[in-house]
Amino acid sequence: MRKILFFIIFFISTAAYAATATIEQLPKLPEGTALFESEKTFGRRGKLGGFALKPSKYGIFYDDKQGGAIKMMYLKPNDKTFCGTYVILMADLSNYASLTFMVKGKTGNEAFEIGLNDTISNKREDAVMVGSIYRYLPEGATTEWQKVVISLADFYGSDMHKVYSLIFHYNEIGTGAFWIKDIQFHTEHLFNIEDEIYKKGYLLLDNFDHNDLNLLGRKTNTYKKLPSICESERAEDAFLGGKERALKLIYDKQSTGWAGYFTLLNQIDGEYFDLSKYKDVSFMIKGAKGGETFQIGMADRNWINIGDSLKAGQIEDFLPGGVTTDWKEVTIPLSKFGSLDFTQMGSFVIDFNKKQKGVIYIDNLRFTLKTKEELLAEW
Amino acid sequence: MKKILLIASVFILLFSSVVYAKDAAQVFLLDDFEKAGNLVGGKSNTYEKEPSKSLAMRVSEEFYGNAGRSLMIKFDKKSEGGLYGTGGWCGYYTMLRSGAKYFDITPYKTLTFQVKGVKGDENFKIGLADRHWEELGDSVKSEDVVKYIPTGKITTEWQKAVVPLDVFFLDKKEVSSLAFCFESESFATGSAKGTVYIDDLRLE
Repeated sequence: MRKILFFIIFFISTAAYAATATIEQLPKLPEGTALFESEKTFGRRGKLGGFALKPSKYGIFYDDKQGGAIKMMYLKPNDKTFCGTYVILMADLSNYASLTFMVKGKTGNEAFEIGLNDTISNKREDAVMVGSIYRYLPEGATTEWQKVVISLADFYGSDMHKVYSLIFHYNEIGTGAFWIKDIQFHTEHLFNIEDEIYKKGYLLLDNFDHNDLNLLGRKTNTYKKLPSICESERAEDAFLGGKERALKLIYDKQSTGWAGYFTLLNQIDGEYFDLSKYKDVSFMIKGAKGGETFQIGMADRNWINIGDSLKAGQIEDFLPGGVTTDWKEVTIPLSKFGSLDFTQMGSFVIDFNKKQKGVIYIDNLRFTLKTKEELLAEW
Repeated sequence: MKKILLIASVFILLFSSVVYAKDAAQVFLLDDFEKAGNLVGGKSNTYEKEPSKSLAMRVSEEFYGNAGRSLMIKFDKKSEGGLYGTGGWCGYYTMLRSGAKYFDITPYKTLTFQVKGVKGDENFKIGLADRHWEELGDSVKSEDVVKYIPTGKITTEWQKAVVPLDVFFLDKKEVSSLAFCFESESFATGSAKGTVYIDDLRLE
């Protein structure tokens, strides 16, 4: 009896600390929220929908055979078309910190991006995407139910007072089906990126497997100025163990112009990333022919504002024998990047600075933390 | 009869637990330093300007209670040199803002934490920043922490510091960060070097 009473007290006191809401229990949109007639007519909490440009297709419905879980299906045959599905929330999420849901794939390895539309972005069809499901489930969806935990702070830029829908976007070519259930919102912070990093001892910024956003959910892209050019893709043909992909950079650096690739550590118009407790950056590298060269740069807040980066040196300075057609790991101490404010870091850069045309592959870009002993030794 | 008594006692305990829950809701654990980040989803680190410096890490060799970890802050506050010739600055901050969401401390009256020093003569101030102070890159400071400790000084034993939130004149509905600030005026010579441990950082 004592035990039961203890649990009752514990449950009630815990409930006072943290609140959880299902979609139906969420606070409504603030009074006067501007909605199109179509949004008012079509919009209803828990309603399901989708979008596609043919020949891509989607399917979404409440599946009675799976206890009412939402079944989502997609077919994306090429990169020129798109498809996605969504669940309408029409809710004020401003008092919530975390989103959780359960996911199960029909065969496993179903790939999708997660996003949120507020009532403004819904009108311009431009959701805030936080990255692939693989960012939150490193092994991906399986045929067993798994819990996904997402910090709502990841949806940076969304007006959390006026959230319209939760988006599932199928950014990878392929077909699949999966189920979602128990979509819940929590006032408690259930996911802490720092804790995840410290457990591993490093930040894996990108493995280039599933998404053009890196694993912090930040943007990546090439930069170029004619006549120099640079293009990127996630290469299927450059395996580094397993079936994972790598970043493929195709460049043609002329005597003028510029060409390169960047991956952001900061949120655009938001927080910069603190690398002050990290000691080095490392990645896997190989070339299509061997002998490819480039310099490695990083930018802090000041250099981001300038639109440039501080360079640590040429790749061969840190890679004996230079780039070859075999995968090699290169490690660069952060101290080599010179006088940067490592508490406010903005980007990592691959810069093709010498006249050359070529193709390189990069994988597993990561930053390693200093150990406790190393921090104390510096003190 | 037994059943009635049982139901009655359950009812009484349920009622009392509701009261307890209300009280419990007035205590918010910001960080117990068991994990790498704080419990409100914000980042934490030291801040410093040379020649002053500080180092913070979560350590298992010191903790308040029966087990766990605490926050160790090593500080070396100088009084001369650096920007403005005042020895720079150093301290530790923890973000209470998560993304664009600021923290509302209006339901609480005090900021409390456990503190001890390696030598026993350490000192610091507590800083709190709202949206405005965050834009300035600074915070509103309390008096020296020793004013909020029962014995009037940091010792080598754990003590609970109780800092009334009234001492911070800022927008308490939009608090962005909290800091432990090693300031020259907290030390007789204007400079000091030492190590403090902090645990169970709460709003009450």
